[in-house]
This record gives sequence, C-alpha cells and structure tokens, in this order.
Amino acid sequence: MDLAASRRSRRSGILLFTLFFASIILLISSRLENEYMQSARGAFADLAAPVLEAASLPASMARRAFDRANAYLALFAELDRLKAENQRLQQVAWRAQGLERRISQMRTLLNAVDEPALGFASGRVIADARGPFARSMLLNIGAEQGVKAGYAVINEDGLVGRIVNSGERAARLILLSDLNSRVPVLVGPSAARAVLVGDNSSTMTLQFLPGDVTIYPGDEVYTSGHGGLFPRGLRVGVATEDAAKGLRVRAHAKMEELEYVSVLFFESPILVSKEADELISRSHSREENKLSGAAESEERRIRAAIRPSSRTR
Amino acid sequence: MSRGPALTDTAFMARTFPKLAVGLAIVVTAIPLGLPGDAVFALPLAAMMLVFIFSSFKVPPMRPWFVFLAGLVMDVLTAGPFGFWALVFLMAYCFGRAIAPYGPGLGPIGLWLAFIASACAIGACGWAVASLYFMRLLDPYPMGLGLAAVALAYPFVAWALERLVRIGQPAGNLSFRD
Repeated sequence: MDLAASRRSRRSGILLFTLFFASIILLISSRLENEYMQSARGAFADLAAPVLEAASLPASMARRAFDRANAYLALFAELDRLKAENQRLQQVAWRAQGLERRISQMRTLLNAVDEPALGFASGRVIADARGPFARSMLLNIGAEQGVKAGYAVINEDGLVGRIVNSGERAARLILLSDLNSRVPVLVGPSAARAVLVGDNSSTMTLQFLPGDVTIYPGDEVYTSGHGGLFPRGLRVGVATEDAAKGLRVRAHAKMEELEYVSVLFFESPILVSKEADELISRSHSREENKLSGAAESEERRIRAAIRPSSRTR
Repeated sequence: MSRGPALTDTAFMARTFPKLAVGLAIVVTAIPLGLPGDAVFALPLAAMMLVFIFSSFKVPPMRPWFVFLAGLVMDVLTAGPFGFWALVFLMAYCFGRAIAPYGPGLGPIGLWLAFIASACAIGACGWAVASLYFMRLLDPYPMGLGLAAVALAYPFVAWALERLVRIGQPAGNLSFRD
C-alpha cells in the first residue's frame, strides 16, 4: 500500500517537474519570438473569438446600461455643457472653413499632390487582454476584412494602438500604454519630435525629446508619421505633469472603455515597396521567357493592387 | 435505509464543477469589463486563487496537466508570453497540495494566512519572472493591488466554493476539512 502511494507520488513529482520545465521552455521560446508561437496564437484567437464575442455581450450591455443610468443622472448639467460646447464649435467650424479655403488655394498654387484617402474597417472589442505583460485587446475583425499587422487603430477620441497579429476573423491590437508600444510623435506648438513609449501604466512617457525643447502640461501630442508606420497628424493625447513620474502623456482615448474602434488601412511605404519588389521579382522570373510587354503589364497591375488608396472601403 | 445522493451529482460537483469554475474565471479575465489599468492583475490572480483552493482539497479535483493547460489558455487570452500563467498556476497547485495535509489542523484563519503567504510568494516569483522576461524592473504596484484584492476575497470565495463542492457528497468523502 505504501509502495503504491510512493510510486504515485513519484509519478506526480515527475509530471509536475516536466510541466514546470515545459513552462520555462515556452517562456524562453516566447521571448525569442518563435514564429510558430505567433501563428498558434493567431489560430487560437480565431477559435476563441466566437466564445469571447458571446461572453462579452452581457458585459458590454451592462456597461452601456450603467453609462446610460449615469447619463440620465447628469442630464441637465450635460445639456448646459453641450450648449456651451456647440457655441464654441460653431466658431471653430467657421474658422476651419476659412482655413480650408486658404489651404486649398495654396495647394493649387504649389501644384501639390493630394494624399491618398485612407480606407478603414470598424470592429468591436471582444476581449480585453490587459495582463502583466501586455495591454492588448482582441477585435472581431481580421484578415477577411483586410486587417493586417502594423495597421493603426483609432476611435472617436484619437489613436488607440496598432494591430500586432491578425487571424482570419479576429485581430489583436496593442494599446499605446503597452510596454512594447513605440510611436513617433510631434509635441506641442513647436512640433518637437519624440517617441511615445508605453510602460503598462495608464499614462505614457516621451523619449528622445530634443534637449532645448520645453514641453508644458496641456501641449497636444499627435503622430509624426516618421518611420512610415502611422499616418501623420493622428491625435494621440495631451502632456501632463505627474508629481512622481515627471512629464507624461495622457491618451485622449479612454483605454478602459474601448468598445468600437476603426483600423486604418495605412501601409508603411517601406513595407509596400518591399512587398511590391518581391512580387515583381517573382513575376519577372516566371515571365522571363514571355514577352517583355506582358511582364510590364503585370508589374503595373501589382503596383496598382498594393497602393493603399486602392483598399478604400 | 437512505442511499444518499445520486453518484452523478457527486461526481459533477466534486470533479467537473472545479474545472468549470476555473475555465469560467479564465474567460471572465478576457471579457472587456472596463477595469482601471492598475487592477488588471485582480482577475488572473482570482483564477490562480481558485486553482489554489481546489488543489488544497484532500482529493484534488484537477490534475497538474489541467492546471498547466488552463495557464496556457490564460497566456493566450491575456496576450502574454506562453508559459507565464502556466507557471503561476502550477506554483499555486504545488502550494495548495503542500497545504492539503495540514488543512484540518489550520482552521479558517490559518488557511487564510497560508493562502496569503503562498500568494505573496507566487506574486513575487511572477513579478521576478516578468521583470527577467522584459529585462527591466516592472512596477510592482498592480501586482500588489491584485494580491491584496484576492487576499481579501479568499475567505468568502473559499467558504462558498467549499459548500458548492460538498453538494451531494457524503460527509468525509472528498473535502479535507472533514
């Protein structure tokens, strides 16, 4: 009897040791960013998406009911605030129309090329994966809707983050506050260049600010477009002063309350040219023995297909 | 002569219910509940607390491989590196198993203190692993907040779960408290 118990205990010990060992191996593989793990994660996200979508509905409805109840309680104060805001916005709209006319005239004078219109797809947050390592969320849109890794994600308040992994019907976005998030930005009226860095807390920090620039609380932060990952001019947040951490940036988008977001189909110019070159070289090798005219038309077709403006939805 | 409750009820509450409870806790972790940024550890650590509670039964209703798989699912859903929550859950399982033989002698307060000590050790290990993974010292405040939340919730959750698991069981069958 004791012998059997001892055997069972030894077997259990070996199993536990194996599982601990497997966990550590998985951690190391994950650190090395094994591509099989990334694809497995994407596949699992696709599988889990329907379950998470169904599970998130009651929570979403409860949150909406709670927000609505709060809104009813503060209805009259909100009405006064909206009236004042409406008056201010009417003045801003009038000024904006004047500026738009002037910009249009100047662009005509300069013969400037128009920037391509950005396509987008909107989806719902179905899982909130804000764990110890990541501030990320799962969306119910994926490659089927044209979503790719690297695309910027916004909501009505401004930039939220970017897509890091896209399955067929679900995609994962990392938030600006994530430890791995780096966004090139411009700060304040002087448009000082900096990199917005997340550290898993509710506010972000600015790195690589030029030494001779002074940033004041309240200065606007928006994307610079450097590096080609994000379009220029997306609203990000506002500079704030933290007693303990110094200068920080608070995002305009409320990360805890995200429900619907839009993915911008903005292709990095570097990635586009690389992708196009690869496809073109493949096409050239296939068409080597064919007429040169056919290869040229193929090249034109591929370039047209990859151009971001062609993805407008 | 009373034949007692049906065997299927007993099997469900004693063996299947703990697995379902841990599974549900993992799914709830992923649902966008709008928790503030510093409270993100509370829900994953609540799942860890369930693993600890069920593992500290005389006859554990979960096998180590189930605990490991549950951790992996949590890793995927929280977008963390594979293996982190598997490691944390396995640690909770080991602490739970280590405390199981002393359960009847410890009493409710003793068990609570044992859980707090175990959770602090697991939290410290988790924080160290996370810091090592990212090669930087992570802010310990969210982890501390999560640990404080589960430490406060433990007596209520443990009491409720113990009663739920006992449903349909003859006295002295599975729970270590008997």
